Amino acid sequence: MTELLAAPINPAWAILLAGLIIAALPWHNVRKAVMLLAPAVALMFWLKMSAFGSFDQLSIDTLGAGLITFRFDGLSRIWGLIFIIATFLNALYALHERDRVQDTMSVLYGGAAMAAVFAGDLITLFIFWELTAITSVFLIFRTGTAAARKAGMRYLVMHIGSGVLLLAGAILLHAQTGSWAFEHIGLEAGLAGWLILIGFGIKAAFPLLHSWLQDAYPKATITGAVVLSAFTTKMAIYALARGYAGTEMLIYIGAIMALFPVFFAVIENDLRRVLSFSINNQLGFMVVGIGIGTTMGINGAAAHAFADVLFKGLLFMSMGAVLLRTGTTKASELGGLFRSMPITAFFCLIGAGSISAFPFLSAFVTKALILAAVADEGHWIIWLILVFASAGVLEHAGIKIPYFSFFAHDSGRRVKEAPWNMLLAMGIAAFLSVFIGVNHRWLYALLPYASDYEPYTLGHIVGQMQLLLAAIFAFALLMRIGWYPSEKRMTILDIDWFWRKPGKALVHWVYAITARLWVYTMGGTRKALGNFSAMLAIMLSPDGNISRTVPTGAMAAWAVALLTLALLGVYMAG
Amino acid sequence: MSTAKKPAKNNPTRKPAHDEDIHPLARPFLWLVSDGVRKGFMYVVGFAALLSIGADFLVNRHGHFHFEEFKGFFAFFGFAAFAFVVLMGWPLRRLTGRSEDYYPESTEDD
Repeated sequence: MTELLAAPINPAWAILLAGLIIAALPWHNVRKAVMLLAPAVALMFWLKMSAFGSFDQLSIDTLGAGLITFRFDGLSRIWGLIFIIATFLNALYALHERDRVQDTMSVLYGGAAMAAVFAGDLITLFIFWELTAITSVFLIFRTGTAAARKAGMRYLVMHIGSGVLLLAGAILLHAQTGSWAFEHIGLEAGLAGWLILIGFGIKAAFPLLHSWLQDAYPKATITGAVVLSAFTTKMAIYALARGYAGTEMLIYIGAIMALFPVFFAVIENDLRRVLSFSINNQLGFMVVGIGIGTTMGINGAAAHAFADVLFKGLLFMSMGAVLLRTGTTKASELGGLFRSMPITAFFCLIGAGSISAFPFLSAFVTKALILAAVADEGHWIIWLILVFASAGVLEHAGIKIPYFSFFAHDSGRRVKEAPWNMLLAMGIAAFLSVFIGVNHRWLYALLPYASDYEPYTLGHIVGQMQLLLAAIFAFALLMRIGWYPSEKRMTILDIDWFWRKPGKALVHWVYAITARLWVYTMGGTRKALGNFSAMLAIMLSPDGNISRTVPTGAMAAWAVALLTLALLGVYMAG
Repeated sequence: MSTAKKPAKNNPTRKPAHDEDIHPLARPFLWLVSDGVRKGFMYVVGFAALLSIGADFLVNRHGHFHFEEFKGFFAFFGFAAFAFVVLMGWPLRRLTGRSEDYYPESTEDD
């Protein structure tokens, strides 16, 4: 019995099992109790892990290899912990909400992300990778609007597609190496390496693959957006850190990711969409750290992912509270809310200060690791881009979010303060953001590699305060002279315009032309049809082509190709 | 300023006691949005920024790159970066801004 208790248990199982139980529970209070209890049990499993190793080996003969569902090492340890914390905060934040579908899906989604992080092989990773997509999309659908349904479909196609690429790459990789293990992949693996990188890149919102994020997250439910902000993208960062550490291209991809969203965030009116741009920008910092690939770079990516789940979750929670009470997150409609929601405003300011990297708040000790890693390798242009992007972070996440919702001109809205459970969830996230900022050694001890980096040097504090104060001065000055673009109600176009407008028109055009051609040629096609049915017979009959034995890998590759085509079709129609 | 003509509800700092919907915890902080703070904020932050530049003459910041060690480097870079990001908003909005109902589904049943 004691042996059984001492055996390592994957914390993700606790969450996934809770998700299945919740699905069957019609009683609101019991469901909520299970939602709060599950992360506590998962934390217990996490805490009792005394050594690194791979556990839960599952042997599946047809795949010719054992699957490792629980790998506990330096990298998965920290991601596992932050996902457990996020699952708890999400449950607390959604305590008032009576929606069994969202309860179930958000818990299963968190469990799937956790299981993906603990996966030791590519098949297990693929299964949970897809499960995160299928479960999370309900958090968008449940808003119930046509816009949310369509954005949800576009989101689902991109994410299922990401999994398909991962599977295709995994099959190719297995053909080359004979192993399903999820270790360093890199681009030296050829086509397999590229396919998996693009699969990861979709979920990490690489430039040009990013539009699903700004499209879907702002349309998710109030609690859904908070849940979404924690898992998918950070899971992708984990996968990149595991498979592509030191891939130089990621340095440049990450720099672009950190840079371009700051420009869009200035003009965006929907504050939840501003936060979605902000996710993209923060992921950029992490991707740069992974591209650098040194122990400091990977540590920086891991630390920043940990801090980001907390402060980005906190910012999304505060905007969710505003949305709940006022019915909007449009900057042009808000302002002056600190008069009625002072506690939410206070927590939002802590989140804003944390992401802006004020001393004694979390990003100050985490982003510094990434910048130091970049500087250590002598990448001065990338370093300048990241410092530039940091000023941009202050603009949209540090100032714009709290200023236009809680301060600025008074919108005259007098609403109730957020419910107590939302305030408590925000309070815990705010406390942890301060805790990390002050006790950075606690977080550094959890990083994949030992770190003796010291963020609290006088020089670092002075430099950072210069950056922040001068940038805040720039804000005050630009506002005073009226050069700051005022908040306006509008749609800001993004890369998805290409497929939502001309792409859609092209599909409609091709459909119309094909339909006409079909009618026109029908007269002369009787013979062709005869040939076609003969061909079908050859293919499908017991002696036909389809019945021939084909290597499983090739079959799977074809299935993947067909699935991709089908996905493209659904996307265009959506 | 024209704010004096606005209804009291839009200017609670003048008559906070009459705006009963204000959260009790917010009342001690209403001075934050007083006209004086609004006007003085820029100068206070500007002064603080100058102090932080001044600190460079007392503290020897050791950077990885030599340009990083110029006095006030982060202040000047931060100011320029912030102003550039904000001012680029004007052409970017002209280029990518459309009406709110540009995508038809956004108005279907919101």
